[in-house]
Amino acid sequence: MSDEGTQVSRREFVQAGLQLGAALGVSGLGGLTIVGEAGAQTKRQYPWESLPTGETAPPTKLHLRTIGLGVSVQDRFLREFERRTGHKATGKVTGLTPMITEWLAGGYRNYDTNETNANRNAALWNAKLLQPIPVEKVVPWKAARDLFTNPKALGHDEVSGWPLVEIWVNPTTQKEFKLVPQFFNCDSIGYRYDLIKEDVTSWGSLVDPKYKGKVGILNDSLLTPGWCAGYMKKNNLAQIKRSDNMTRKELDTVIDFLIKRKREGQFRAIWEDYGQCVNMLASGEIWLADSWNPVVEDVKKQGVVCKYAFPKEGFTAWFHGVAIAKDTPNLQAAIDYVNFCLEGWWGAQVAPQGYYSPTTTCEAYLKASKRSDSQGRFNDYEWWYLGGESEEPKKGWPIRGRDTGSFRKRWSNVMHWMVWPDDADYYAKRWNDFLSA
Amino acid sequence: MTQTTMRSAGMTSSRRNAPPALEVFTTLAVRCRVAFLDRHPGVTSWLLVLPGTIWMMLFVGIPLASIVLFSFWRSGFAGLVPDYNVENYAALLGGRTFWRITLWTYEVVLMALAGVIILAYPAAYAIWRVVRDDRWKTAVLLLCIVPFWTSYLTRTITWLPMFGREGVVNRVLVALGVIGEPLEILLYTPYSMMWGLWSLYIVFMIGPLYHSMTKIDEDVMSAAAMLGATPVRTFFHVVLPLTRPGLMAGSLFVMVLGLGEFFTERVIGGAQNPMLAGLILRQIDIFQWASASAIAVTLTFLTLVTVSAMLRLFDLRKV
Repeated sequence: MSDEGTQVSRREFVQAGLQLGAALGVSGLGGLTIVGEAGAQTKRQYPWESLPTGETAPPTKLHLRTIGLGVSVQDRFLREFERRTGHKATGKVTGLTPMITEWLAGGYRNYDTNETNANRNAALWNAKLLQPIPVEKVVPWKAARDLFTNPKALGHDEVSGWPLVEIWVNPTTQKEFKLVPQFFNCDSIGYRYDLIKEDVTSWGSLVDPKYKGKVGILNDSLLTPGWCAGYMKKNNLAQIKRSDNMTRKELDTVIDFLIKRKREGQFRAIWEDYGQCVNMLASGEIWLADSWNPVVEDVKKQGVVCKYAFPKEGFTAWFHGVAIAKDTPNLQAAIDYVNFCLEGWWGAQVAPQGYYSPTTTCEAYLKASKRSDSQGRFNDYEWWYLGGESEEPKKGWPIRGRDTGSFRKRWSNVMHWMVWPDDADYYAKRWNDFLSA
Repeated sequence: MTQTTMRSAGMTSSRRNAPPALEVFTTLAVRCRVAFLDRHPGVTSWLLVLPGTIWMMLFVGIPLASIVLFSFWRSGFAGLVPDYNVENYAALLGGRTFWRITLWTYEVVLMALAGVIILAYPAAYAIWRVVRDDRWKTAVLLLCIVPFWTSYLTRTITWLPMFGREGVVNRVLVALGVIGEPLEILLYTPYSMMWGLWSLYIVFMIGPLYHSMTKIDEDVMSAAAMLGATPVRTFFHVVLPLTRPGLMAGSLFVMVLGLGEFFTERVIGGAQNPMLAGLILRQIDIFQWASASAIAVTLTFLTLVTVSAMLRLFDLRKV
């Protein structure tokens, strides 16, 4: 597979298609690619299924209008969707809050789909701006990971009910989606191994006086107190029942702790957006930060020795999904888009950024690619999902494979999911106290 | 030209421009309007301000009124709830954080203003007195303005490669042996934020100051010199009082822009000391639109009070 992703060689395409069909064992996808080496004939059951290089589906009169973050709304994704389906596709890139605000202010009429973080989607669902999506309309969902269907699955939080409660209209029957999972991951600490010269294994490093003046933290009134609460809880520094959804008293304890650290000069800067965190880590302005996996991957791409920690207290988990506007005139295009995102190609495209796909359909594409391993020993599936040279979190430097090890290792170590707390207003108030301290 | 030819030419011209009936009607309408406006001179003024008033009502008045209204509502997860209360203001004004941030905002703006005045006066004076050639004056003034052709965001972000650990300034200082380790004070501190603000606002001071200076009569400057005043004495006793209008105009720009500042604080100030405008954004980030509205209304009120106080000190119409 080339860098562009859309330029798949014939051999890779055939291999990926057959592997995909075999992996799924799904009749609907089994006929995905019936491509002979000589003839380039494709029999597709659905318009969102893969299409050989050079072929383009005839245009339809439908137009997909989507909105989301830069990570999911990318021109290359929309062009591939257009090529496969013939539907015109346009996307607006914005932030999490602005997209919700725009929809609530009446802007939902200008879009067919919304690609948002699950913890904010309830704002749109409660405002009745979305329509339920029948599970049978999402064909690749037959290959969904059990994390999104089974309350006993690895990584599922029985206390909050996440992620199931934000996916399904009824998590028990699982007949209709509120939000179809699109990609997911969990957050941790990005750190400059070359400057710190040891592996970071705890969220406590961010508040450790040893790194005074070298730490960056995210300006987020929910997420930052969240990991700090998890750290304090797991290390018996405070009595906290739920680190994802704290009471006022618990939050007071956490914020007071952070304020004390801030006054002692622990934090070099408070980062606000993705690019800012990449720049701060890459330039050495900060040595470590509560960070996102793609941030670390982007810093690495600059030739900088940067790692993603496996904290002993656990990761903070989240997922993004696609929701469909209630009165969309392009319903079929929206449904096709949801299917396209889960068909496998899309999931394989975001894997090198550090994201996981909620369906296993991406595996066929990833197994056909070795882009991530310069030595060509591991294919991309082995690298991103199995951990590369070992399933364990990687120590020292250089490393061969994923910092935090395999998918199984990571999802067996979840601190909490990033839910929307019951008292978000108080979180905001106390966060402002922290910022102005 | 014969009479027939003239009539024919006139008719052709009339047909080409407008039908005679329309021409007559237009002339009559204009005469009536002029006569009406002559009898009611006040109406002319009202007509002149009408487009601007409608524009301001639509795009300033109504949004502002909406924000005032929302500030008395309640924030729900799925939008604003018209549940009238004063809790947003009570929570805001009753907490120490708001007052601490307000005080800090004024501290920042006043420090920015002081710095800009100190930097802008010599610059404007030099353009006025030292640069004699008009073409050079234009060129230098243009140099001051050129950075403002790029966006505010670009100008702010430019400071990152300049003052970072691996930035230009640190590299030069380390290379020259002035410092052993890169200075961290240059970025993500209140000082770095101040340098950023000075660079952003200085042109808003140089422009009005230079304009005021050019209005000083050359004879006044000559008289001061002939009476034995040194350049320094002339500056403090002649130039400074006569450029007060420019100083006030520039100060107004800086104060109003500074009170609405949020980006510099976030990007080069390290976001560790929020200002009032930044507080609004942080509330919106977690869907607290009602309290964000209350902060916005309070900030607007504070800005109006500040501007009114400044206008009481000096009548801007004299500029």
